[in-house]
Amino acid sequence: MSGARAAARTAVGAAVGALTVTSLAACSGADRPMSMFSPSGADASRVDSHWQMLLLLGSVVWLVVMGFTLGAVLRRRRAHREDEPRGRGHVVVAVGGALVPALIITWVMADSVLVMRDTGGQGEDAGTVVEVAGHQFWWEVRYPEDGVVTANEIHVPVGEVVRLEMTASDVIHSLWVPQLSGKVDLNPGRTTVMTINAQEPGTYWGQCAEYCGLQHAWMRFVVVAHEPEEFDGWLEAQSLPAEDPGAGGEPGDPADPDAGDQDPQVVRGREVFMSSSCVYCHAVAGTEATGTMGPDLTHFASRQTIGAGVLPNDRESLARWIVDPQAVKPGNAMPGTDVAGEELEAMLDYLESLE
Amino acid sequence: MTTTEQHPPQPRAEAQFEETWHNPRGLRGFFTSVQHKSVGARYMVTAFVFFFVGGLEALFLRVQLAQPEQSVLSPQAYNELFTMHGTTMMFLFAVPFLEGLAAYLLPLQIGARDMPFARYNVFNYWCYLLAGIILYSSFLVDLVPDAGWFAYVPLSGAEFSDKGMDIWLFGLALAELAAIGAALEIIVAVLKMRAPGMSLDRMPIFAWTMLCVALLIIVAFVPLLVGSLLLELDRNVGTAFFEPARGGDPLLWQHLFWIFGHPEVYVMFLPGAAIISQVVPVHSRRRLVAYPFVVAAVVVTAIMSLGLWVHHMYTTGLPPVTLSFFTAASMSIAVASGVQVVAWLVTMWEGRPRLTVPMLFSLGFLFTFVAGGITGVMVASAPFDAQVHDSYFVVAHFHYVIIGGMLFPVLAGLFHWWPKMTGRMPSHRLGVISFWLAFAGFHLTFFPMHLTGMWGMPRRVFTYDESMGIGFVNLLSTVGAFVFAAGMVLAAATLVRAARRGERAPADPWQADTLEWATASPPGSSNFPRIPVVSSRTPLWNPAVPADDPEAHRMAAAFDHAPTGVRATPFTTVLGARPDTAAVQASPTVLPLVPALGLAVIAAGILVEVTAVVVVGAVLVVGGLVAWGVVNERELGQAEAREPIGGTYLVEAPGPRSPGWWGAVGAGTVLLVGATTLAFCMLYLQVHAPVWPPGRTLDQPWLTAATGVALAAAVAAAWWGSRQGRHAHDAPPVARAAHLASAGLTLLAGVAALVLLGVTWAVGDVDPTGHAYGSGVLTMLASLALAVLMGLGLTVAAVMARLRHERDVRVRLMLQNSALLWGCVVLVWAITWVTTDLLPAVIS
Repeated sequence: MSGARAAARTAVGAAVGALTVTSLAACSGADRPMSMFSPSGADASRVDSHWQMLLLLGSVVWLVVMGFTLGAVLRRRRAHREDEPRGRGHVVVAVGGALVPALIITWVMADSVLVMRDTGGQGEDAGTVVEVAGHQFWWEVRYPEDGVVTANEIHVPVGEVVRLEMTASDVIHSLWVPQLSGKVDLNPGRTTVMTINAQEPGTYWGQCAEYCGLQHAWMRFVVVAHEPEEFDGWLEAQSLPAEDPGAGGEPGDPADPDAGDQDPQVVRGREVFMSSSCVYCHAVAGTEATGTMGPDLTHFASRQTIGAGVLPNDRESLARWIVDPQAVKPGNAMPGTDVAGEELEAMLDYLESLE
Repeated sequence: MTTTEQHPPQPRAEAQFEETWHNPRGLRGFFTSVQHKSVGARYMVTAFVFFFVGGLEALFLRVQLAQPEQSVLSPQAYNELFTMHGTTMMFLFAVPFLEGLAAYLLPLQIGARDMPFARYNVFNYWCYLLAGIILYSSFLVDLVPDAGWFAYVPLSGAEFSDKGMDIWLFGLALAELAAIGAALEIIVAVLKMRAPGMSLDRMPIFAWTMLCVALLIIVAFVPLLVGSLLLELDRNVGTAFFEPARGGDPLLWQHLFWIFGHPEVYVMFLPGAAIISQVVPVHSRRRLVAYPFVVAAVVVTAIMSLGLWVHHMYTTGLPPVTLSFFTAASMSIAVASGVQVVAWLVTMWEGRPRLTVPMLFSLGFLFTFVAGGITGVMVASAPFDAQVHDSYFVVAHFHYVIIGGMLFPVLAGLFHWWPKMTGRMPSHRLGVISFWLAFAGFHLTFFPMHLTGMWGMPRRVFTYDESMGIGFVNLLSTVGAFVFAAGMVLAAATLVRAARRGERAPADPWQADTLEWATASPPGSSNFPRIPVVSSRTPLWNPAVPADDPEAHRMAAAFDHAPTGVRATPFTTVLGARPDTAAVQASPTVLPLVPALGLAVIAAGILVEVTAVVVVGAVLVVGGLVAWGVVNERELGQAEAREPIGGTYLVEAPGPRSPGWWGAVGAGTVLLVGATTLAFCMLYLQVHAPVWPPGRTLDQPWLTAATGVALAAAVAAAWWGSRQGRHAHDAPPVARAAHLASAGLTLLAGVAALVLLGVTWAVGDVDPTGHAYGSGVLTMLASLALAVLMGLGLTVAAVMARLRHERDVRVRLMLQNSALLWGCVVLVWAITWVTTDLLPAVIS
């Protein structure tokens, strides 16, 4: 008997514990890089306060309706005929079913319109304009005023409105960074606009939110928010062409004092890269690689991920990706290569030098 | 209700009556039975088979998502399965099931013996079944559609999707055709076949709701049918409707899809709510409180649902004014649902609820649907939706609304009506267990998804990164899905077991209020050998209320086990259900299967690109329709099909007093909605295109005018013919000659219009693949030609009637119906001309 009671107590304890853990987990969100509950952008914060109002109001309405349902089922009553006319049911229906909901809805609507006014701006006078193009299954990111081209990363200055001008090259995509802002679609043949206004420096994960085909799940990206001066530095570094690992001279050539500093492996890797099929699709500014099908690799080594968030940008992952990208992310546009051994190592050295 | 106590009819006549209504059984019965109960049951069984297939697909999806970065399914398999899950649940389960339930229940609830066009009813079922077979044949040839149930272009276009998409489009088109047909049946049944005395304000809520839903289907499903046609043309003919480089726009597809897609939500929810409005009063032993408000709420919901579609497109980059408007509209519809919810609550409050299985599912519905409605108001807010749109929050929301608002009510309804359908009671104990399994499993599956979405998981992803921290909530959903599935399997097993060896059910096991409980369980083939007379909203609860129309009892007496040689049911007036005429109803035949099969063969022929197969299909369609028409005319020519029933109730009366007129008006309406949709597409593209058209317009004023004149001549000739021979003193031979002359002139004018259309296209020289304008011109002219063919078909049927009938009235009716349809064709012509020539000239 006592054993059964103890078991019951344990069960209840476990249930309460599980519930507590779940709800705590729900509230924290700190370790969830795409949680709406920890907003860091102006729009996301405004929508978060809207959501809290919606949640409170919705919970109250739901609890009241359920309370009445429970009351209706449980309350005692006298017998009566089914069709006996009695009560003022229709008045309750008119007031409780139409009038009260209409008032609540009006309130919610008003709040929604206010939030709409404060969010979803077009950023006409934004200091930074970024062009984003969605591709199956990666993001091309351009800073037209500074001639910077990158991929799967959007760098922004903290505390400033950044205007994103977006389009798609193939199918419809949708750009979503939950901690910063709601999503807006990228449509082929037209330009849509959204703004990002990050409040804190940091890295925010985003993802394609409109089903775009086989690898929709791995069409991710990051928004990196820098302090303004740091952002300017990033922009400047990215606007330079790739460093030339000693083109035109042997180490020690007096006409090319930089040449000697270069790692011969990098020079070798560059040769391998330039003579491979890579250059048909990828560009490296300042070299003969000018392909536009795939991401621009000019500052590839400065990026955090490979394949739009499918792998971290480290040497081992890069090797996997170059040799057989279809095994990592089947259906992406990049074919596998037969580069191997010493050539592969050299190419990795070269790519890792593109900072 | 009072059952007419007349002299008992002769036993022989009674036997003959039963013989006339007898439906063949077994395999032969499956192919030939056309009566509404067989058709409805087939619909429901087929839909539930697809429900379990779609559920199995969902379980696969859940297993794949149980943990981050799993590879139980390949990305391709995952995308195929989620596409088929949505497609199956929407097009092969929810809508067909509800139409099946309506086909089964409506005649019983309104005191009729069958649906108005019984053979067309079964034709729709065959189309639906073949649609399902076509869609699932994609697994056999490994071309499973994978562009999502919403099939957004360009992803669903020729460049990004293989032939699986064509299979999807053909399956969809056939299923839509079936749904539209079923809607026409429901409208005519509810408006014209109610038992004498059942005025509109005495109609059960289910009948009111199905009437609204059917109207909604006509307006909302035709645009999707048009949309799938345009996409198929883009994919296989090379037109440019959705191609931005050639004047098209991918967003047009989204508009067309959601003009269908949002009303679709209410096509599922409103019947669910209607089932609750039937179940809650019976099991609370209290009539529905505030019936007029509930009816008003249903009507308002149906109308408003047509104006909300843009809330599925909040993130496409629309201007703030549009967003505000659709936010306000989308939230307002919640008020109409509020009225219904409070009406059920007050009904329970005033009544004495019994915790039967139907009641449990109704309470589960309230618990779940109210929550889904609240999240619905949340996602109606454009700025909040911008966050959760296309995330798992939305997946949670709409499963709360659809499973809560449609599936739970359907289960409540099945347990409620099972004794009526099978004559046996389902087990209470097993029913209760299945409810709790389903209820707990459902919430365990879908409640965590709110969090999953707000933690950043988009929909339609085959996996997610471990670092997102959403593995646990996904695992909960997966576990819940299996519990839910167990509940569904147990519920189905409980019902199947009951049907085989459940306790025998009396006619009215729940002491219910509506007419279906007045007849035997299960009902005999004719439903009501004696037609009931209705004098209140709850006829079984207050049978003593005297009928306010003495004529009602006369009609009931005339139809008491009668007529015996032909199937017939009363046809009453729209508002008051006053006795008017009789509708002859079709007997068993396999013929409707033939044209349905023909359509499927045409689809298969286009898919395998073999012209001969397409031709065979076309022959089956035309041949099947002709044979069907010939058999119809032969049966209506029978002696007993000519005499007024009971000497009073005309079998074929002019105008809206007989079913044919409603059929012609229905067909014409569908045509007009289709033409209007095409015009909308063209106008939308014109407004968004920089130049429209890039070259010259069709610009054939003389040919266009001549076509219009020919079509007007067809209307005039058919109308003139329909008025010949209507007086008793008209000499029959003269009238007959006039009918033939009129039909001949109509056919001549129609053929002339067809030729003129061909010449217009040839002379107009507009390139259908160069620009969306040319694509639109081709499609509109072809649609007009199709409308002309329909007019010709109906006129040919009139000629057939003339040759086979001695009576003039049938022929006059057919000519009148042709005139109506030709009138609609003239309107289609006008819409075409406005769209192809007038608007480009005016707005440029």
